[in-house]
Amino acid sequence: MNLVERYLAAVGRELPEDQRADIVAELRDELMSKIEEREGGLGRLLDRREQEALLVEHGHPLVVAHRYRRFQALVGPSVYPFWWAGLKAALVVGAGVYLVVVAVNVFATGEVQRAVVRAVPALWEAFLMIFAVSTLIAVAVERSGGVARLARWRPSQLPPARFKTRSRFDLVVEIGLGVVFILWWIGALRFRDLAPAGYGAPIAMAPTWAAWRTPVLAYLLFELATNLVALARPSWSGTNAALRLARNMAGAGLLFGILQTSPWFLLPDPGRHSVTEASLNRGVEIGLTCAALTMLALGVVSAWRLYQALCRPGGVDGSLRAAS
Amino acid sequence: MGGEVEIFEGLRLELRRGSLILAVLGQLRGEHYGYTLRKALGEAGVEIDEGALYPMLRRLEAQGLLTSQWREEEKRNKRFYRLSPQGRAVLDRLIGEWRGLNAAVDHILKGEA
Repeated sequence: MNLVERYLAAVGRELPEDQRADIVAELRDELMSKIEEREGGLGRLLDRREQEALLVEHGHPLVVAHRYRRFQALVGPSVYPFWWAGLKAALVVGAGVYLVVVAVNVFATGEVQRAVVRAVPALWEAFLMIFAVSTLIAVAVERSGGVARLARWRPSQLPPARFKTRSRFDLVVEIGLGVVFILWWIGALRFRDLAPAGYGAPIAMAPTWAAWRTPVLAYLLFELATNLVALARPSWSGTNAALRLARNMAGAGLLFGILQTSPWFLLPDPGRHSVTEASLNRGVEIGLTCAALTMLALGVVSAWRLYQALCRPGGVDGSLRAAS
Repeated sequence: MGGEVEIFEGLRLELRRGSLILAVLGQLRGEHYGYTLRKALGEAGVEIDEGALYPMLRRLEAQGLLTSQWREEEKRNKRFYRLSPQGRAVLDRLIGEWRGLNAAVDHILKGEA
């Protein structure tokens, strides 16, 4: 009987304390009944090897004990799709932030290899942290029964079948990067802290940016708001197209305004660089011009989408139907 | 062919899983302790693993569908289970569902044959 008691003790250790004695007593009766039945059939006592085989057949103590647990899985099938979608989005945003950090490092130090070597382990650590946090949130949702709230949806909130909407993936990435940029713009996040020790900023922003601080922040907040609306209400195709058009026009206007106020960057220590301040600002001018023209082109696309939404039978967009 | 056997076994288990609770509740219209319940189900053609049976009995009891009582029998303490009045009402409804589903599936399968 020693083996049976050892087995029951192993099962008991994994059981909730308030049910342990009760469950173990019931399992003991089950095992003893089985042993007696086999001994009755053989007409003799079971030897140690036969007892061992019977216990193996009954199941591993961890598996047997786990079946008495209320939750059989860390993230169950009802929470899993939400966890997976959230994890993918969070990983993409994390990767996007690290890409920006690596780009800043490369730009600051000019050492591509060193920046990449420094970033890769940190990126894995960030991925692991994102995985752990999103899994913990999913476990909390699973345990609290909050999946019903997550799974609540209405068909009217879905985007129209024939209307091309932006993917959630794109929106989440843009929102993540937008938040990083806003934090940097208001000074809450300083990329220079990520540069190697002893590193001095090689490029300084020109005084012209002081005048643009508030308009750019206002634009960034508007952009963030439009992305959040598009993410939360993809069915509001008309509203989203109108917001996007307004955003594209505002962005183009802002960029053309900034273009008139050269220079944008200064070189505090010109001897350290192979480029001159004039050539640097010439490059920035080309970049800003391209960005402004791209913004105008996107504005044309948004205007076309707004026109499509207005022409679609059944109203401007789902926002009116959803609101009614 | 190995794949087909595995697929069949998986589907067979899935098919049986839902009907096990019905069989257990039906058998517990009379009083049983775990071991005799499993034997009775086995003799009726419903094999059930003890690792699944005992947690299921506890879950059904926690839901109020079963009542249980520890009593000594054959010189050992045993936990006897029986259907509660609420369990009987639920069983009656489940039997209705089972018969309806059985008839519908049977009708479909006969039509296919």
